[in-house]
Amino acid sequence: MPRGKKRTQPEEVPERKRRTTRRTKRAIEEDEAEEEAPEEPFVPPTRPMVDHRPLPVLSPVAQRRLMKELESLVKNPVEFATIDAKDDNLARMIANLTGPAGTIYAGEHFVLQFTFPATYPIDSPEVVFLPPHVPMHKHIYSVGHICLSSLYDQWSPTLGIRGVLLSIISMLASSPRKERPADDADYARECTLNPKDTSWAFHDDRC
Amino acid sequence: MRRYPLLALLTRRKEMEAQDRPSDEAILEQLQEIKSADQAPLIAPIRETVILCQEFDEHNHQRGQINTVSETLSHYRAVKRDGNCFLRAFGFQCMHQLITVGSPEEKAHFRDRLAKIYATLLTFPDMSPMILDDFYEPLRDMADAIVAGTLTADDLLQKFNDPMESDFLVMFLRLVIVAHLRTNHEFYAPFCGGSVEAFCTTDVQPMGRECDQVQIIALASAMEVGVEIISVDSASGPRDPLRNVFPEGMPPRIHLLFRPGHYDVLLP
Repeated sequence: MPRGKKRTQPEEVPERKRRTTRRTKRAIEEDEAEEEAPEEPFVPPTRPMVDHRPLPVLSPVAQRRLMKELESLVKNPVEFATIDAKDDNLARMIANLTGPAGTIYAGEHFVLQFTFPATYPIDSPEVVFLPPHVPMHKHIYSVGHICLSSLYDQWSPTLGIRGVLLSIISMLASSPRKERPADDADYARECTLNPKDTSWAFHDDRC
Repeated sequence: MRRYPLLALLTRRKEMEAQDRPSDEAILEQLQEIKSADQAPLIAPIRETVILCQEFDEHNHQRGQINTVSETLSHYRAVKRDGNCFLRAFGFQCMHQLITVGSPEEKAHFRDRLAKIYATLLTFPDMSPMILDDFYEPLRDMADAIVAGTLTADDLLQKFNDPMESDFLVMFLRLVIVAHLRTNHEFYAPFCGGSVEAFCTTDVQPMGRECDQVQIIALASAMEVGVEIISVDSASGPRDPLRNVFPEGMPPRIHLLFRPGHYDVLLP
């Protein structure tokens, strides 16, 4: 059975508390109690992640390409998807998806966020679903990260926004049941804001 | 790994820690290696081939093989190790050779091949001028300038060392391979694990994917440019490296040195 991803680099490793002679006995005991706590505290799968990262500054080539892609998407839209782009900064776009008719997601509303790197289209965009508008899917984590090879190591500059939208819609259309990845809770604890930091392992040709 | 060398190192380090933690010196050395690889130019200036002998110890067959190579191809250009080395080396050397010693016919042929391949690409339903032009136009303009005699070898080197421009040129060469494999899919399918389409998606179109024999044959055949691959390999004899010319029977215009996982440009 395909099962997405594994191993991420945490954004920041919390500094391990160090004991010094100056600290009181009580503080040490508290620390010990903490360390000996048999179970890790429960972290809800959708831990709030506030994105404070500045948006990339696009190269002129990237801007030109994104303008052309937007034009093409207006002229010839992708079914079940509409793009919201702000003229002042093309580095971030929102796509509103509707569950494709005739699938288990029919009529549901999902929100996809694209963040384009300065080196787009050579490097892939960061594409995530924005909670809570995340489809219940075997390869989509509740934090919004998507296990889809064409977003990571099989990205090709020829795909573009249209290619990504089509892949995601076909991923939804072929899903037989609504479920989360088996490691959803673990992933939510480990992952960073950027799904490209995760080293994804793909178990079939796409996920 | 091209995109996150440090991340890759950290991941690798984690894996190694699980079994046997390397010394801090080894880690530092590795970091230094990655750092210097990151700063290496995409196409380096010309150096003497014999320098490469230093990479191998005295008893290694590869050392003798490099010596043999240096007798006829005394110079080389190092190409950055980023998974695009074959394409970058091929593209650069192909055009450099045209600029320096190419006949007017060869120059026009190069330009016409590109135009023809672009036209072929446009016949595929998943391609469009919107997708292709960013990659095709810079190369077409260079080919035109080569024909007109307005592109110098220095301009070429500069373009190939600009990360963005260089990657766009590499990308078009990837599309040249896609066009050739798709057009001749019946011939190539058995060498592509059965499906040319799947092979293109996983092994041709993504940037940073290394080229193997199939991609080399496809590119050389599509461009109708003979390329000789000289492989120094510890499996071959003490003096003679393995030599292959693609496409077979065509006189080679480009010579590339292959050491497992990497290609550099060789020059007379």
